[in-house]
Amino acid sequence: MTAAGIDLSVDFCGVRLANPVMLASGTCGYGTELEPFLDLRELGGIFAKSLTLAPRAGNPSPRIVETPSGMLNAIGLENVGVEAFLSEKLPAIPEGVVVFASVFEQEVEGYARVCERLDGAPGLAGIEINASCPHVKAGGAEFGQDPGGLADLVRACRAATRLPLVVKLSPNVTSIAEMGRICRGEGADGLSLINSLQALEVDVEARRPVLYNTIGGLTGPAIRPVALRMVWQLAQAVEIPICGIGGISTAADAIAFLLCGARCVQVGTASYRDPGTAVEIRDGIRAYCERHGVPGPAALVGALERPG
Amino acid sequence: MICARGRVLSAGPDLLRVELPEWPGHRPGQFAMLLPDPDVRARDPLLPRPMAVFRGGADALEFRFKVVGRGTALLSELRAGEAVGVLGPLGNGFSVPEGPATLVGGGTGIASLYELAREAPAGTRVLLGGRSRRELLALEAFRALPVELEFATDDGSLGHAGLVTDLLKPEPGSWVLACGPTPMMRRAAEIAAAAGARCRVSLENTMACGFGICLGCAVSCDTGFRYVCTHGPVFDAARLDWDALP
Ligand SMILES: Cc1cc2nc3c(=O)[nH]c(=O)nc-3n(C[C@H](O)[C@H](O)[C@H](O)COP(=O)(O)OP(=O)(O)OC[C@H]3O[C@@H](n4cnc5c(N)ncnc54)[C@H](O)[C@@H]3O)c2cc1C
Ligand SMILES: Cc1cc2nc3c(=O)[nH]c(=O)nc-3n(C[C@H](O)[C@H](O)[C@H](O)COP(=O)(O)O)c2cc1C
Ligand code: FES
Repeated sequence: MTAAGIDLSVDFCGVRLANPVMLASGTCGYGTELEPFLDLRELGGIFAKSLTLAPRAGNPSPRIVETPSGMLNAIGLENVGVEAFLSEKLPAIPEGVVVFASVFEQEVEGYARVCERLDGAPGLAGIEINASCPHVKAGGAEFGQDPGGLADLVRACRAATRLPLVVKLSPNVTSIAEMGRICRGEGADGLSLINSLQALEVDVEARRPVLYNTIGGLTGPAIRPVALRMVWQLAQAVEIPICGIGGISTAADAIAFLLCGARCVQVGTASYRDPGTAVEIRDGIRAYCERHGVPGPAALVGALERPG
Repeated sequence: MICARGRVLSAGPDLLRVELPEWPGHRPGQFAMLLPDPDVRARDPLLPRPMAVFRGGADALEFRFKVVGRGTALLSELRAGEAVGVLGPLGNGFSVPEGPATLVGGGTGIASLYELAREAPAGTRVLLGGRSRRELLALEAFRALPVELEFATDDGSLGHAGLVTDLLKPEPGSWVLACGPTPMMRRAAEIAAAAGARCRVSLENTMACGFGICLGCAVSCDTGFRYVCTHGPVFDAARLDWDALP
């Protein structure tokens, strides 16, 4: 409790967060890269860059391009691998920071093995399953796009770890509610959404896609209303906690996600503009609570009032 | 490294001067990420733009650039007293060569070389190229330096009519330090290699963050991917996979 009586803390999958503002996977490195600009302990927590079993190189450049109010990225699977994360990256994060590892593989078995390695790692609060990876055996559709593939994935990961398990849903689906129910049914403790929207940008002079990979993921303010709609729909369908992601750059953006049913939020692309954004959002949430006479962000969760 | 709001002292079609008391200092060839409108609600552009520090310090940090798109246009239109977002200093920068060196700059890359030219030993040659005399950034500032200066322009409006690399004749064992369009740097690297000179180049890739968290600025090297913002922007030319550069 602060002097003003505002309690910023929230509970997410049994993990107590000092405040609801976290950093999104792939937009905060392994945490320490941001230390020159902010104290990670001031945040609710961080989701580290998605990990595979072995270290992976990503796609050739161009990997990024700015688009109206957003950007596309096609980084590929680039990461240091789970072993280097455990031996070098995780121990380097200051004590007291809530760290979720993110897991990304091409087969169900690979995901499960990464989860197994992470299980019980000192200082790790939980695991986020990045379900936006193309499933090779299923012809390359994202795990999160295929109900059967998603069920297999969550079941295998659930069996591989006792840590809180969050499934990060792909927005590239017809029914987000159905995907959320599948995850809950297979034992997920929480859901996070949205990952990037599949997109393409063209260089008309060269008559070529801008990105080497042709297709990339759209993120940033452009996707925020889509993300809000999905969080809201999901919150109607499942009761497990939700972490909202997509285009959040101000406290008002974050509060909109809470009102739509998210317990906490992740800030992504906005940290590229200003790595201190997440801390400013936390301060803005406190100011909002004071201004509206609300005891804290927990009281805003799902508090969207609808006409009629 | 700082992320702060500077106060614009002056701006123009190819120049921005910023007052930033917190600036911790920098090395030649380091850069900053600049946001023409640092307000969190601004979206135009969404991402900051990488820009070499041309010269200066906390009292007046100077950038020189060419307007090529929206971000640089907005930087050029800033007015004195307005705020500009500055994150830096970033990247490795150039080490000042101890022996004889030739600096080769083309287009926007010229700006990355000024402080290096200023600190380089006497007798350093500086070769600058562009489409025309008007496109040679900061010509007057370079002319005031005690270096051997030569020019090349496509249209012959100043110096040699042709490529700046036509002027490059490095001694064996000397340094060639280049920044400019990829074909220019590649040619400079080839000439250096053929002459037994050592070559370093400064790359100007697209960036989102500038400090290693997005992994968007990868280039392919002999040891795998490297990031222009954290491992570079200055690289050993012999270690780059030139065919894979964007
Ligand atoms: C480390 C580093 C240092 C740099 N230093 C300088 C500097 O000192 N001065 C400077 O002028 N620029 C410099 N650049 C390049 C500068 O960052 C880009 O020109 C700028 O980001 C373009 O932004 P924009 O919004 O104006 O154009 P965008 O809208 O992003 O692009 C507009 C068009 O211009 C093209 N373009 C992008 N970059 C360049 C370029 N360098 N030259 C020509 N065309 C380009 C794009 O492909 C696109 O077609 C540097 C880049 C890096 C990575
Ligand atoms: C460059 C980049 C890399 C990303 N890498 C990952 C990743 O490794 N794993 C993941 O689950 N999401 C990744 N994301 C998606 C973000 O975590 C987040 O879901 C998305 O960017 C939407 O949030 P935003 O609009 O606030 O950026 C990445 C996003 C960007 C822009
Ligand atoms: S620009 Fe983000 S990692 Fe280099």
